[in-house]
Amino acid sequence: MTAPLWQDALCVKAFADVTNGYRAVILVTLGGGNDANNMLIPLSAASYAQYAALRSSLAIPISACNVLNSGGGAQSFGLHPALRNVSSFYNSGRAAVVANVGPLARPVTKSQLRANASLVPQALLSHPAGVNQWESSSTEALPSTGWGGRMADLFVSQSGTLPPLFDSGGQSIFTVGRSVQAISVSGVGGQTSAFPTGMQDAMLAIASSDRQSQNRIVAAAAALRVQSIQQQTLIAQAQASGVPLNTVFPNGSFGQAMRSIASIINGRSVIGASRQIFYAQQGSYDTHAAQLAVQNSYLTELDLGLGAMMSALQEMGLQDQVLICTHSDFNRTMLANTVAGSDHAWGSHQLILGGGISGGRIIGTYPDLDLGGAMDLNGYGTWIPSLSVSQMTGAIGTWMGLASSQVSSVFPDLGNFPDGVIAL
Amino acid sequence: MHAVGPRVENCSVSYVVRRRVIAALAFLVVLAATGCGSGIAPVSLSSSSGLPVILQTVQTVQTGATNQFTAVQQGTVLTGGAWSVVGGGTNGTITASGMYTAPTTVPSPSTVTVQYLYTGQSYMVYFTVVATPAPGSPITVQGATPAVAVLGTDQLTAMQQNAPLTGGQWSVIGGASNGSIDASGLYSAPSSIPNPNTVTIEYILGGQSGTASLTIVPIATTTITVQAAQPSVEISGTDQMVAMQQGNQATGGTWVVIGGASNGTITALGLFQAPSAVPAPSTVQVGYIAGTQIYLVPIAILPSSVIVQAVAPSVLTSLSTNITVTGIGFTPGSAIGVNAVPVRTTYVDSSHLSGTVVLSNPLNVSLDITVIPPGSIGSPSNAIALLARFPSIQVLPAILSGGPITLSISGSQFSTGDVVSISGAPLVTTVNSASSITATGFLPPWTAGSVIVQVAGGDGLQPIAALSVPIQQTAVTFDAASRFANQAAFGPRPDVVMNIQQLGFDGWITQQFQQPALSFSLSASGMTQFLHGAAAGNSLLRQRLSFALQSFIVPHGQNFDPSSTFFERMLETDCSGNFRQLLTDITASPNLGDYLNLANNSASVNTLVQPNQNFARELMQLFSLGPFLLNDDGSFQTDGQGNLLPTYDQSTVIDLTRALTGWTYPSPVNQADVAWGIDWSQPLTTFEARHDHNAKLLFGTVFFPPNQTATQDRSMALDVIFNHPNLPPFLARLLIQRLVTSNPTPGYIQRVSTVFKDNGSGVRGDMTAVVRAILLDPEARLGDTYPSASDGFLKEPVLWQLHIMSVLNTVGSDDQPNYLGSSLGEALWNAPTVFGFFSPSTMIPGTTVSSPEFGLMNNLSTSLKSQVAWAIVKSSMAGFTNNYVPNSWLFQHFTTVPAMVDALNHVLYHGNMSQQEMTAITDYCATLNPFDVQYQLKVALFLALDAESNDVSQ
Repeated sequence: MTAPLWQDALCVKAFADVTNGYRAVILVTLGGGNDANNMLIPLSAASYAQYAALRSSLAIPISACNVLNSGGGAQSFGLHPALRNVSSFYNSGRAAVVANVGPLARPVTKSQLRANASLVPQALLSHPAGVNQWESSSTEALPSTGWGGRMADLFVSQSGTLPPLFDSGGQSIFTVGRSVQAISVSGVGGQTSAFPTGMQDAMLAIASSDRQSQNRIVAAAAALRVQSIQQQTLIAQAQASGVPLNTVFPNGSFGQAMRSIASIINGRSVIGASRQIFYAQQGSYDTHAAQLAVQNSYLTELDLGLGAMMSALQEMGLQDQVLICTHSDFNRTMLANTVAGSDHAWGSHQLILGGGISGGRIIGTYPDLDLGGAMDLNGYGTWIPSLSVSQMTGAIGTWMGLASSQVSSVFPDLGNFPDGVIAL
Repeated sequence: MHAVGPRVENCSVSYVVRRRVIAALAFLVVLAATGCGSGIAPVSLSSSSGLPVILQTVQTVQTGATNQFTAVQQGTVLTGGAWSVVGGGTNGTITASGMYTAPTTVPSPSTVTVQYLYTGQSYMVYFTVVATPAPGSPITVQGATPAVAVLGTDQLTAMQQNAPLTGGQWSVIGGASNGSIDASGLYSAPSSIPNPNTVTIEYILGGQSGTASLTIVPIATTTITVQAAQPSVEISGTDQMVAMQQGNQATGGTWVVIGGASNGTITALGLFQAPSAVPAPSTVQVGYIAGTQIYLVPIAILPSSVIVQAVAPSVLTSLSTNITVTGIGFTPGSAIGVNAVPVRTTYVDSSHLSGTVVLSNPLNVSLDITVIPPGSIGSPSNAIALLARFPSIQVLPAILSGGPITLSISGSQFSTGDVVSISGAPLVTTVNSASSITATGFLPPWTAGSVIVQVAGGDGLQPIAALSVPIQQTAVTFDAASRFANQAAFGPRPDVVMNIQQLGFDGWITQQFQQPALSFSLSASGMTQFLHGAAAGNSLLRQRLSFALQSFIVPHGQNFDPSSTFFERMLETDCSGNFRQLLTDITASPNLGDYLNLANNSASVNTLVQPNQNFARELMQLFSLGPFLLNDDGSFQTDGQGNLLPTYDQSTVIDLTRALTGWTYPSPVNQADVAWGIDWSQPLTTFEARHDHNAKLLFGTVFFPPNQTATQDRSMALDVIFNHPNLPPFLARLLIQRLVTSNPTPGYIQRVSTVFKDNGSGVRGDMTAVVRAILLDPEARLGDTYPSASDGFLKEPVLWQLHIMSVLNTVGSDDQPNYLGSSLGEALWNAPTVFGFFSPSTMIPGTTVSSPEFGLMNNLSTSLKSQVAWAIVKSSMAGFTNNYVPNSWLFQHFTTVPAMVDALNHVLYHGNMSQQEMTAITDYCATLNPFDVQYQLKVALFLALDAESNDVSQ
């Protein structure tokens, strides 16, 4: 049997780094396109009035917002009422908001976009294209790898006996690398029953034979099974090891996904990993109608899950070594629609938590809420991003310890941005 | 306001349909002009608008040529409007009376729009300007060589201004005596030199022509000599011939034996096989034909130097008999041949051999006894017939078919304890009398050719008599039918496979389209009824197609059965109709109307509040066109820099949104189908006050005039989508992937697209034709013969579960099987988002192999599937406790591990289970309790079900 791709003599050395040099990133993709216009809300009187006028039925009362500390004279902002934990992390310097960020191949102005359609990301405003662009840190609608996978390709020697990449259920391009594939740490459940002794050997013999099949799908599926049989024990051991966590994770799929990820992090010494990348999906934010209640319920779930994860990281002493960030398909239109929802837009706001970053600030520039103005692509309040996804994700790659040449290879569009990555 | 459609002149569609279709033409033509050749599908369209329209009589205009455009409304030619060419002079000019003159060079882009401004509204027509061959420039025609030998060939080419021409007509002046030419310009010379010996070939294209002259010459008269390796050969021996021409081996000729087979035969490579008896005369002529000449060589046929004169005994009456052969020329090492197969032989002397003839069955046959010299020296002897004589029997039926069988055997000397077997498998035998036996049993339906029916005495140990009985041939083999059942149904349910076997693929499709869609009762779970239908019903193709369609036309699970079952029934019905009807029905569906907020979507009443774009975008992106322009073969169109080209822009999304405003739920009709105030059995109805009555422009080119009703706008919008050139390849690829293979070739997609565009009778969107084209395509069927022809597709969880239920013919013991899909990651009718359960663009990570269903696979799901399969087979899975495994067709008819493995090989693997898998199953079963055969059979079943090579429909 051939050794798994990620097994490497270096993993022994990596073990020494597990405690001191451990770094991990957790990406949470808010599925369906979160309305970031109602996640980060301007509170200064003039801006709020502008906000409320454009949002009409979607406007959130100023009194309900979680007020963010503004560093002396800067414009004041609030977070969505549901984001109580996140606001508290922000105000204690452990979280930041990246403003108006979206897929962009190079810096552009509205007039340049109007003149040259190829500057617009492929299939802009499409759900699958949007998620793919965020998760691949590119402007391609059909990328073949994600930025998590490409980083993982470079971290195989630092991930111990398992790949450096984990998902907590849900398909994504984020976890697809050129050579490394993710393993799942939670997801499908259901009834199970033990196999009789000996039958597992017969199953493995058949899978090993199918792995050599000319049929490429059979071969790939059988390889996955052989690998799964080999990994299962290891994952279970890792998840069961470490000092038991006191943090109580919310019930529900996102809380439990955070629990699974926390248990892998807690068991990192069994795996021998010093670099790990985790992926989770949360929510169903495609709020074309009846937005207020739907978004509130999903942001509540997000906030509670993130709060629990931050608490668990604190317990493990890893609050500065694990970074959490959000992605979403796109922002939604600033304008409400006739059924109290909003439609697909572009530049969005995202959260970064933990990782020892310099938090308590808005990174980047909040868009000028001028309908049809220089920041609005199409008159619906579709903000042209002022930061690219690669400037945000490239910063996380740097934070994870990639060398500058590695950052350039994982985030190839970065070279088009003279300002480079955002400062964390 | 426009109740009557306009009349049309100079249009190729028939009058009957014109009234319905012509209003659609004005916006249809843009689709034809984008290079898809989609044509116009008259009977598929519907529009009741009586608006002005520009007649489309051409789809291309040659550079410099003219074309008269006419605008009509309700049969009246319009005047007083203003004609113009969009883009100005580089796109041509048009007179005030509508006479268009194309520019002298092809504009870029080559699609040209002519506009007619009439009473403040603009009406448009689109066509393509194509290059005209420069007038008067001659067509030159040339052969590869100016002289052609009789019966030779020559490739001709036609050129104009140094560019090769295609599509013209080739002909030979003077007819067949001057030779012939095919459509590609390959000329074949006649068999004799014509008089005169010069022939003229003509090429005609677009009213112009060119000719070439060729001279027909005799075949070069170089001498060929034919040599035989040996001048003589013994009967049944071989001799290699060779034809030489100027010191080289001649090629291209044909070998013959003069006088036919009684003088011997010869292969294409010149290996002469002597006859089995010395002919008269004993010297034969072998010939080599080159051109019109034949070159001969004589071969003397000699009697064998080994001669068999007698065999004793002269008749065999038992299965093993010692015989003695008498003759001349025997040597040590000579072997007695029984039907040319050497048997164990003892050399006695040069005229005696002895040996043993062993028969596997007491069949009455005649055996050829020969003596085969040692090694390959010399040829075998003459043959002497040796008869095997056993008591003769007759078997009825005289031709057998797979399945349960009852044999009536008549003969003599039968006695109690006799056992009848078929090809070694014993039957339940009743000896009625010494001359009559009845035997019942089961003949596996994959049995083909013939079987040996044998009667054995002594409790089946001593064969008495046997007869070879032919098997009735079926339309397709069992193996091909079981493979087809994975593509067109829910897996190899034995009764379904045998039905396909009898009807053939096409016949079964016809039968299935005659079956009704499922009728869902409110008194049982809808999902249970769907699973029940798949596992026990016979609307399989409809259910399978509905399941395929809802992978990309994704309904919303509502936890209220009618919200899903009416959607299901709609897809099962529309899968055999026209896709245009399907577009109407999904746009009227309360399920999707609720899911994607089409219902109650309202026109903007305030510039800061716009209608909801959800349905309009996904109608194009997911349900019909996809985001990028496609070629007919499914490949992406690109610009000069290799960038993908968007199918639609945001303004089209917005205007389609506006065109589809003004729909709502009707007042409930069937109270039983009502939940949350919505009657899920009723299509959406109009709410005209909420419709946006302003003009719209779709795809930048298709203009919707103002003041159309919600119904008119919807009809026009769906016509545009239906006729968009992206629809055929988009739909073809998705359906091929769901039914046949994740990785279709471009040619396969193109063939299906072509059928979508025209079913052969001029109808676009005929779903039964599309389904036939997919399932009967050579690429779909190649795997019937060549197992590794394609990768097929990975069974998604619902298909995986239904595959097991089909194989085991179980409908489940209660509603519990409904919940299995959800734990496996695919809950029927309940996709997590409108994007379904997996993305159609999923590749296996790290490869370029497309496998959408692989997106649901991970290290956890793969082991969970095994556990579920084992629990089902053990009957310990909730919902699968009804003891169906022992009652299943497999367990009823295959009661030993080898028989079960053989059955699984045919049922699950259509004859292609790997040797390694068979060995792994058999070896593991051999370690189990030998007295619990049932358990061994379950293990064998589980291992075969569980393997990845079964998870993939190959």
